[in-house]
Amino acid sequence: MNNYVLNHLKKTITDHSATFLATLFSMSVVLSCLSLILLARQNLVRLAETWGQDSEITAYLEDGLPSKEQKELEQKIQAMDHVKQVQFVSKTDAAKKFLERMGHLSPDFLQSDKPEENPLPATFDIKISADISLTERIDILKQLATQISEYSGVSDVTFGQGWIESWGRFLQKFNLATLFAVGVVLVIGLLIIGNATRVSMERRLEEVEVLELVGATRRWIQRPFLIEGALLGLGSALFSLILSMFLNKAVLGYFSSAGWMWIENSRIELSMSSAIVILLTGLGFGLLGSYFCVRKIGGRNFQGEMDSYV
Amino acid sequence: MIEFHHTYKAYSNGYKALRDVTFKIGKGEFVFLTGPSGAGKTTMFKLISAYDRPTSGNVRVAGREISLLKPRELPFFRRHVGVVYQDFRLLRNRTVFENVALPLVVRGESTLSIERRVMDVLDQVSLFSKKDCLPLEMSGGEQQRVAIARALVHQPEVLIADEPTGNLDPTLTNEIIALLEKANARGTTVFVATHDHDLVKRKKARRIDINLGEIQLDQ
Repeated sequence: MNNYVLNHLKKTITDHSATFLATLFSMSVVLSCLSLILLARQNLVRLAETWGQDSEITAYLEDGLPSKEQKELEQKIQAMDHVKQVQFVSKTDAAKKFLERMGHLSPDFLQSDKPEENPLPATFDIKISADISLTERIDILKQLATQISEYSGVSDVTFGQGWIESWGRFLQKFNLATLFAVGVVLVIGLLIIGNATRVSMERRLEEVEVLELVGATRRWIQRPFLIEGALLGLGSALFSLILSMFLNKAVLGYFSSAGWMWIENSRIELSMSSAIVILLTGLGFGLLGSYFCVRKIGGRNFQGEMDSYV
Repeated sequence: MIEFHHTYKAYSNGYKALRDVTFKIGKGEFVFLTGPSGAGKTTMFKLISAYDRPTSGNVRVAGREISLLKPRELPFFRRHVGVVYQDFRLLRNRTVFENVALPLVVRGESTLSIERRVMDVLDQVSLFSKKDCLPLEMSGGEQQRVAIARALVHQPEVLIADEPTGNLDPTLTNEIIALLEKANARGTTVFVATHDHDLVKRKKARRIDINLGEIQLDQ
């Protein structure tokens, strides 16, 4: 059987090399699209996670809050779930920070030494744990902000909800688009492999008839076609990974030479798990596509019951 | 070994290929089947090799009732029957050795046993030296000998040959019939369809004549 399968594969490659290469190329392109979609999704999520880790809650304190109450409030916030760090920023520190960042825009602002003339409130800058996913992080930030805003001594709470929520919505839509694209790729892939197997099978109908004649079982006849399909899928997946790796490098090279230096250090590459998903997808496509074509093969039991294989 | 009992075969277009056919071929017999084109010879062979089943009546081959065979049993049944066609039905891109080995390969026999058996049968049909040739590199007579070798390599109980000498000249025809007789001498039941009445007369074997789906003569 092994020799027969090897012979079958060898003949597919040598006798029908044009069809074989065309299928390999088309499947590689389709799977490359899948790799690039997964890569884009992975990097958007990674970017969101990176930005999300910097997100924090700012609790603005009421003016003139006694230091004892301020300490108690700090301890209460520190004790809350998911809170990693609470840092007190006094009115003076807030003014200093403001002047450092924005002072050049308004040189006369906050130049007075009198604290009562400083309009900036004291704040608690609250960081939450880093190991929380972006979608959970949004919910946790909302929940914490609501709880903290109800504590006495707190006048207002912000956590940059605008951009975080927008980003979350964008990622959600992107995930849906990814699912849709994966579905389209799946259908196209199955059609390509199915078509290749059909062509291979039609060229071998005579051989299939002879195999039936000499008593080959259905499974025996189908096996080489299934292996051919699976190897074609796996080979295409491998090529697609190499292709998308080169494409990725080329795109990153273009952006980093255009001044986006941070891109170079961002490790934007397909993860091992995504690569395995692509390889398994290729293998699955190959098996499934060829199975749909050969499921009737070898079923010529009695004339008239099996009019055609195809 | 082969038994038809009040067998009828009608196709979906209404054509009646066999009508009330009854005969019996015993183990080790050599029988010719004669009749004009369209008489029902090929239909009879299709029934014997389980590529078709009768509309009514019975067909028993090697102890098995064809109508009762389940689809999954068919490949195993066909291993009891060797078939030779007029157009050889060889795999053009496989060597003589590979073609002849096929019935043993599908049975999952060991490489050593396949090699031994194929060499033996190629020797019997005098094609040992051509084992690495492709069918298209050989003459019609040689290709038919390869087809016979393939049909005999797994030592079937029954060998059916549908016009095996149809495309061959008289010398090659005699060679092929001699090979079939050799197989018959080893105990294989041989059933040969032919148009060649001279050949049948010469061989003095049992002859079943069929016309318009009915048996005309059995002697």
